[in-house]
Amino acid sequence: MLALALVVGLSWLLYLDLSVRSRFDGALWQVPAVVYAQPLEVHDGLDYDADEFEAYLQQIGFDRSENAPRRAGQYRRAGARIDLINREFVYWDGVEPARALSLRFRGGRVASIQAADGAAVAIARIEPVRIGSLFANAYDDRLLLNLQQIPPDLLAALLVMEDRDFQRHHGVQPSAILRAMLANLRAGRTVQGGSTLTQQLVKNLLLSPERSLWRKFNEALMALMLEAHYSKAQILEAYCNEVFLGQSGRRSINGFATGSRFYFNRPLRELDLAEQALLVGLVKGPSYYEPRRHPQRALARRNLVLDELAGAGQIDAQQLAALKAQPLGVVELSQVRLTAYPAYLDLVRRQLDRDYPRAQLEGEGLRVFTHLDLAWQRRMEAAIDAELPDLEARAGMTAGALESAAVLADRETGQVLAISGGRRHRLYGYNRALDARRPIGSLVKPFVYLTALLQPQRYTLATRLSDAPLRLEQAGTEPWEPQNFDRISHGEVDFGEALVQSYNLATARLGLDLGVEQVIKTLRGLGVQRELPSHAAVLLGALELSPLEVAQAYQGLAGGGFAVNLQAVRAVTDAAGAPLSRYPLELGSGLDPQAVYLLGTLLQRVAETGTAKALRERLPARSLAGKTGTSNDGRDSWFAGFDPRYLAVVWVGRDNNEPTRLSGARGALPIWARLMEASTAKGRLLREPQGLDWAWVEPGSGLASAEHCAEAARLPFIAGSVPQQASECGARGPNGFGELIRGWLR
Amino acid sequence: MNRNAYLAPVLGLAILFAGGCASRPSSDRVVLPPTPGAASQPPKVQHELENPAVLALWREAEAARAGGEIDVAANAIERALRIAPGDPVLWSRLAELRLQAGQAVQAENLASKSNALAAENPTLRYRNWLIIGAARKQREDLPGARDAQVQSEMLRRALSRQQ
Repeated sequence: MLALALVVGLSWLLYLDLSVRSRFDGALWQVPAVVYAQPLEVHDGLDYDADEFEAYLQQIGFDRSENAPRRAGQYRRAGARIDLINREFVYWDGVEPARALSLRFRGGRVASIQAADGAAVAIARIEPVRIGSLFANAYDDRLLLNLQQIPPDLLAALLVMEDRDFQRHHGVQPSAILRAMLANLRAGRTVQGGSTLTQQLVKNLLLSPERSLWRKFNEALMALMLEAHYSKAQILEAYCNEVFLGQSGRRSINGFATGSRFYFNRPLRELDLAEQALLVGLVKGPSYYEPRRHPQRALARRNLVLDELAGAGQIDAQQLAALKAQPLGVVELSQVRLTAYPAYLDLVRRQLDRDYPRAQLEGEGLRVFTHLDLAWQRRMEAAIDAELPDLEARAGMTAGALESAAVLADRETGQVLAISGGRRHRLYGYNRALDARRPIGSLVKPFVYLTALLQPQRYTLATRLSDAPLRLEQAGTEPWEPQNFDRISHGEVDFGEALVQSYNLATARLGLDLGVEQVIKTLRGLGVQRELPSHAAVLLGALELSPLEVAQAYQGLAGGGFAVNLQAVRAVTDAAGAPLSRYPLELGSGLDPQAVYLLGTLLQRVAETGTAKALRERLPARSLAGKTGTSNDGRDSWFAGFDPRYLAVVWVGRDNNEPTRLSGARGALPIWARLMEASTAKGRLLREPQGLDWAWVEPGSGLASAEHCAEAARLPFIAGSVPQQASECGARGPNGFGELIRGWLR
Repeated sequence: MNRNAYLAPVLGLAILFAGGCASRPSSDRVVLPPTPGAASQPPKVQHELENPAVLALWREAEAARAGGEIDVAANAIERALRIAPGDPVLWSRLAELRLQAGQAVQAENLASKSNALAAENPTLRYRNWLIIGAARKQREDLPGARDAQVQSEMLRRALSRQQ
């Protein structure tokens, strides 16, 4: 009997020992995946002025020097010239060596780059900004410190408050437990904890939060084991990185470094003793002493920590008085830059989750290279911050009522350059760009018209459509009776005009002729993977997609029919830089580029004379194409469009799905315009592929016409689909007197 | 059949193609069907922005390709595409590199994309149709390869007439 108990007991001990070591080794040695933004590719003509470039250097931790830079990571600024020594950096595709570069700026651009010997440098990569780390918990990208980086005063305060005998005990302190038990008995409730730091760490790392004697017992055993296997320094360091200090939405705030960012928005080393004392005070109960919600409690707790420090002789009375007189110094939550780019990291995380087991992301020091473009991310946030309050004021809504989301991608390569998941850019929370699936309204229409244009024998830009009232009887449901926005039927309308003016009746009729299934097939061809409904109302946008999915579909249009999967991740390497996986550019087989071109000419007209003509005033002399979208009562306001270089999708609406009375043109478009204002993209908006014939057409009939005819319009047709039947004028040739005169005057 | 047998014509062309841009033709490479007009004047490759950065990356890609480092070459082209995404020459070269890496479907898609951007560049389209033909052969779509051959042949004749 005794033997059996011994065996069971020993096995249990072994089991505990094993779990202590495996979990603690994990916590100690795990190096989370590091995530980088895009490196900065500097070359002549790059849109960066000297100030922007200097700001970038500071972001990656370069030091400004008054003299010529002497080591990597230093730079010197002299007006429009910046000299620097670029650090060596290991990319997924090779090493960029350390080298001296001298950049000159002119007119908001890089004018020249020279190497140390004066030779012109065509292109150089400046290392990317580190934007976060990926941990087991998706919403935990804590900053890790080693013991030397933790201020000694903070460590002293921690030990004074939580475990005065830390350096001497072996993991548990029977005397402290006894003392705590007596105090608790006397008070009739738990007023004191007798746990050492080691026990607290065990509890945080290994055990469930339940409170029982059995758990206490195991905790004590494991604390002893931890002390046997690891040094005091290792335990203290792990504690400082693990300690729970607060909660922000779904994200838990662990570790003093992260806590410092969360409460003070500054690195730990910059905190003064009063601020450090607050962090130490929070250890006892982060939610009870939460300084933003309970500033009085937090202040009292902080001052208690300061008193204890004075009592322990760490500070004198004069210092104590001065420190206690300080305010808490906690910053507003809205100012916190805990994670600079939570919405983007969220997408990175999801793309990696498809390809890597969690354990690998957490513990193997992977390096993740992404397409995030910090300049565009900043512009996107600024555009939203600038426009949303205006929109609220104009729509007569209270401040903060509206939300928004946006995605910006490279039009041809599908690289996702920036994402906004909502107006609180710095907080992990509901990521509307990825998760808010909302009705897309008229954003679906281009896909209806594209489906038609993919059948050139049936539909061309000269086709006439009926915008007559429509009533569709459907078995089992109410009849479907769509209306135009202006509630007027426009009779027979021009194919392009129906899209440009976003007529519902003409579009519904066209879609029904084509078949809803065909339209959905087109969306699939452009990379929309979600299972889509196939009822008729889909044709007018009763179709819920996230902004990212909309961007995916529109990328296909902007990319000339060749869809690429929108990607955030460029490559993943191991800690040493050996590539593990690349995410190369992969093109879909594509839709007929001629049909996509024809549609593009219509989307361009939308921005010139159609529902988005406001763009002409906001962004004059720019080549733009896009489409507005509005769901019922302005619950969702959308704009999706592109310029010669970039594709952007913006959504505006309310989280509670109440109406905003903002149409796509009034809600999302102003944000889109402000964002795209920054683009300096040149080149053609649409590139005409081979296989098109241009022909004169008589508007109003769609018949073949001729140049000399009044009002004749020259339109592109997919080869072989030019209208054959000629209008009266077109058949006659330029012989009428008036036409002759006009011909001369041309 | 050996995959490289399909590649030979394209590889050979790659050298001529690069003529306007960079590259030192190496003698150990097989030069098969000459690009139309190549003998008299190598087709000029116009990069969209005539950007020195794109050119530098192009050269880097060329050097890597010559050394058999297809991945490195493709990476350099992708970097160049980030700077000049509308440059059909870059898309075409990426198509070729994918073909060399045995990714026939990607090669065909990329060459088609290049075609869509290269309305004014029949030489490049000729080349793209050769890539498409080789890609289709690689995945044993023989009727498709014959269609591609018809296309490239038409372009070849048109280009010869221009000479």
